Amino acid sequence: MKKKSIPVLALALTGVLATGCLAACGDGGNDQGEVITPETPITEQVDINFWGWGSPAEEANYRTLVQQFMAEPGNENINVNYTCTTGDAAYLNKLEGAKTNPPDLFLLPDYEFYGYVADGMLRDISGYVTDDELSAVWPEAVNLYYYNDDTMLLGKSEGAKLYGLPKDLGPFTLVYNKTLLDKQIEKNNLNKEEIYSTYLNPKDPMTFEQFRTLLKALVPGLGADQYGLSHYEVLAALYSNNADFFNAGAETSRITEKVFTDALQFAANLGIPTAQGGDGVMTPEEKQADTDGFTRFQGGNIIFSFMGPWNAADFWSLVGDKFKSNILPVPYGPGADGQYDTADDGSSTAWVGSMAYCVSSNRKTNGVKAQAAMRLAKYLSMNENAQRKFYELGQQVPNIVSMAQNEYKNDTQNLLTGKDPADRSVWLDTIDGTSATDKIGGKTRAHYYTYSSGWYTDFTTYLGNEGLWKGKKTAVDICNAYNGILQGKLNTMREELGIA
Amino acid sequence: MNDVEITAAEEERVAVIPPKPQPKKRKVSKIERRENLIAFLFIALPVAGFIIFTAISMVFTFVFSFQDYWSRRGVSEFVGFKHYINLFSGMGTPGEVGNQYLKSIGNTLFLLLSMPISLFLGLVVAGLLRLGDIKGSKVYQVLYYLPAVSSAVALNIVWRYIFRSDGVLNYIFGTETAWFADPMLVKCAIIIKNSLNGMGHAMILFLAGMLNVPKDLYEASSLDGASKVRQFFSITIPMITPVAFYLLITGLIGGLQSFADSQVFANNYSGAQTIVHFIWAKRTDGVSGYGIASAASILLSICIMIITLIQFKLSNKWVYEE
Amino acid sequence: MENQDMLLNMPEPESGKTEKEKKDIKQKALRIGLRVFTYLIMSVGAFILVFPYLWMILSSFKGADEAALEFTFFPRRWSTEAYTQLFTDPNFPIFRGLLNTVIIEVSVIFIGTFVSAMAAFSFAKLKLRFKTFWLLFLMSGMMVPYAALMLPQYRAFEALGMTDTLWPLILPGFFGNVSMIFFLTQYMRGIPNAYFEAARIDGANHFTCFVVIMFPLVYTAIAAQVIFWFVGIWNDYFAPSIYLSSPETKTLQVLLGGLNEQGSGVYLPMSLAGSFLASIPMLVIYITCQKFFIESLAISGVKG
Repeated sequence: MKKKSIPVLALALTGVLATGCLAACGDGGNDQGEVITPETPITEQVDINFWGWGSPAEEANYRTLVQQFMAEPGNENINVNYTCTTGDAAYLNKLEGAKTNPPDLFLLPDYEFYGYVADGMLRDISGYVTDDELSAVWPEAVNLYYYNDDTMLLGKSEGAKLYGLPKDLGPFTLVYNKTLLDKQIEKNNLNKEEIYSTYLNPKDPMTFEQFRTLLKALVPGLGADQYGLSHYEVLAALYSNNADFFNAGAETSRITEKVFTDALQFAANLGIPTAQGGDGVMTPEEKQADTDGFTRFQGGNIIFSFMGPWNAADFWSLVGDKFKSNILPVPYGPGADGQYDTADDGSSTAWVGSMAYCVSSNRKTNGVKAQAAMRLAKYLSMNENAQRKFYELGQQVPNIVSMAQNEYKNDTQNLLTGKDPADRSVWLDTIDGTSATDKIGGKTRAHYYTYSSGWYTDFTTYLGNEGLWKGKKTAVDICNAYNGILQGKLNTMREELGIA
Repeated sequence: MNDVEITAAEEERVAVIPPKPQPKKRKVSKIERRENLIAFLFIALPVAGFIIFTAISMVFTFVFSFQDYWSRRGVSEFVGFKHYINLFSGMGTPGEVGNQYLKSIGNTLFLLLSMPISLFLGLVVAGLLRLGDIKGSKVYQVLYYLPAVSSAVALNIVWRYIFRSDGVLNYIFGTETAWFADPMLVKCAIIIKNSLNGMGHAMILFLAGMLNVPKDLYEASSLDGASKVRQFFSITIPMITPVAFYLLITGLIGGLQSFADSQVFANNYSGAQTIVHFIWAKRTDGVSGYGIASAASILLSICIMIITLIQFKLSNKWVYEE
Repeated sequence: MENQDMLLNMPEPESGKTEKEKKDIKQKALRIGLRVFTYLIMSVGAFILVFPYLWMILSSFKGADEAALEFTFFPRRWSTEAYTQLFTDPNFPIFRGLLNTVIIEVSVIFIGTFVSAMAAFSFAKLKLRFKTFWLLFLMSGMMVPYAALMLPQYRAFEALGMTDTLWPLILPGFFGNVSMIFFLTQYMRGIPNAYFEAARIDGANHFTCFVVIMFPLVYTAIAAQVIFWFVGIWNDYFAPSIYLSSPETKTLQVLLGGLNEQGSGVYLPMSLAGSFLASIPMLVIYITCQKFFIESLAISGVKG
């Protein structure tokens, strides 16, 4: 290097970096211009980047499907570069970090959708899919990804456009280790038939009280480090007791309502040791700090846990022959009056997660690239072969309603023979929502409805820090103390979004 | 031999810090000006690096600390002292940002306890090696310094495994302590881990310091009939206070910036969140998170600058007092 | 005070041996006792410090359930599952991680060391105006914690499209290392000017003086600094963990951190195995150059 060039280089770099800093403060570089329609054939060679998130098994499945997609007639000119990341935090971090250079197509979890769509990161794909095509898919899934740019509100409404195609709907329901359960029934001389018909009925969910009674009856005689329940899904307890964090529109906090604190306290009591007046049937918090409840469940040391369809493949490979398992609707609470069998009763409501295939609104993803990305999204989301492959691989409930309700539920293609869980209808019932005849339904997670999702983690961290799970403080005290903070956060988020 | 070396080194050190005699007022010759330019070119890259990566960055952090930032929209908005006020209000209310910040400061300061402990342990083992005068002292030095060259991540992973409630530590002591579920215990675990891992570093510096104590001091006190143990306390320890001071300050500056303990060892458990972890975690938290993180960074920098300045001042004193 | 000591060492009256002999025996006994005590304490300490490595190795051979759910000293069944997974998991491309780490190491250390040494040469031997000012100017950077710089730096690199590449980790290194500059400046001051004066008279320019005369003279001092810089970069976690998000750009340490965050289950023996593998190169370097390490540390610590 010549000496004279050193200061020149240094100056240039100073300039570049300073401009970089300044540039980062302005200019979003997004483009919502043209409407893309499916008809135009893709004649030129096009490369698109597609980012996904999931386990190595899931990655392999996606690679297969992407290959299938590229082999479809008409797609010869499309080349898809698929990249997969494990772990939600790592993936979301990566996506957030790539905002100046985002992938053309990417998976987005429902709870990040509001932020991304309101900030103009996503491309409107309403023009690409017809209502007719969409009607084949679970409306509960599709409707999540509508957004109205004028009112800045989520949901299907006048003027709302579609900004994502659903990857799946994942009901997170109760699961039990059948092998361990039967062993405990025998050990404690319980009536097996009665337990299966009254308590473990896939069509008739348990009440909170029944679940507690059942757990207390089952746990005596469990080995060291074995528990009746791995952990409690806070959302399942809240939703099944008619409680929620806030009203529709995420304006007013509701966490001090009795239904809310009752449900929390019920879940907490299950884990508090009997010496402290709790039920002592759930893995204590400090044990979960070493190894989380679900891993313990997979290890065969827990009777009940919670799981979603994407965990199914784990049970085929990881758990293997260790034990048999099956799923159940989540237990429901007595609602506001604390009495069962009244009009206020909760109904079994699991949280239902979802992810979407979203096309980037970045200028780099324009024209034919956007078209190719949408074509891939539509293929993965709605194509019959793709959906069949996904359920066969134990990854999700099919998006296509008719396929889910018959082929998947009854395994008419014999693709799921002998594979747990047997009662897949529980997942379908959960997705389907509550009707007059059944008490089983599901609900989208609360942080879907807010501009940013950090508040939810803050809340659960707070519950732990304040000692809810150890019985140091009651749910009422904790929620009363936090109410103002949550309300503040809700207000701030609405302000930040621009709708306050 | 050693004595001569260290004195020479210290003279150099003294020579670096006070300004050189002022250049006399006279016309600078062309040759000198040329040499001056070349000399500057030699230091140009580090100076540029400082300007870009430290000075400009610092200014930007300062600016960001007064802004809300919509990172995806690429929009910033001036909000005045909001973030600083946020950091200091609500300190007493769990769940508020201020409280998290206060706790992270408390955690960071508490974790600094490992420093005096490892200094003490390091001094004890260095003293033992010096007094015991055993064979294989080098082997011990190598083994004790091992953690210092090891990756913090790898060490944290395995120490986390050791501290598990069904881990080897609890097994040996027949206890069932859940180190990772209690804010106090998790910090104690970190202190234990860091004290042990830090003692080798301290030991080697102390040993080096001990070797540099002038021999005639020992000879003189031997003539007075002082025992070796007495000499250790009355001569060696006072003579190695500069080393201890150096370790204390570098430890303090490093400790204030600790991150991996919080993230890897405690696996993001809030009970062991340090200031830097707070900054790291806050930066992506909504629209104000970035500004809050910037404000916290500025405050941390000010603290560290003050400590470093104190070190400069005091360490000059140590050297001059010789 | 000294009188007290004398009193303690007083000979017992009925003894036949001379005072000196008794004192010698006593001192010898004391010395042996001290030695045994030293061995004992030092060995216990050494065991505690080495134990994590042994434990890491032992446990990495346990099965996933055994590692996560129960306690055993020795693996019940020696399983190499964790290692197989490490080498096959696409999210843990261990060789790619190693390569990334090495790329950063090599580029930063080669260029950064050269730049630092050049600056030190200027500070030590050239007629630089405002020398003290510039030195203090650079050293003031040591006061600023990285945490205060990472946010704008991240945004700058993001705007340049350099996040998730190795550039943010390499570029700053090109501008030298202040502590190295400071250390080398001190060292170079000790080199007699006569070396250069002769060369200057022969018409060599400053750059030649630096490369041909100074560099070989301070070679060992540079090596001592390089080795610590090398270890620092190898084990660096904070900055890489911020910038790198794709498996194929991650350094070894970030890959490891990611494994740990996956939590329990299958990842536990995997992260232990990964920790072990990632430690091997550093251990090998350390054990082979241990003398150099310890001596360099002693010098830089006492002088620095």
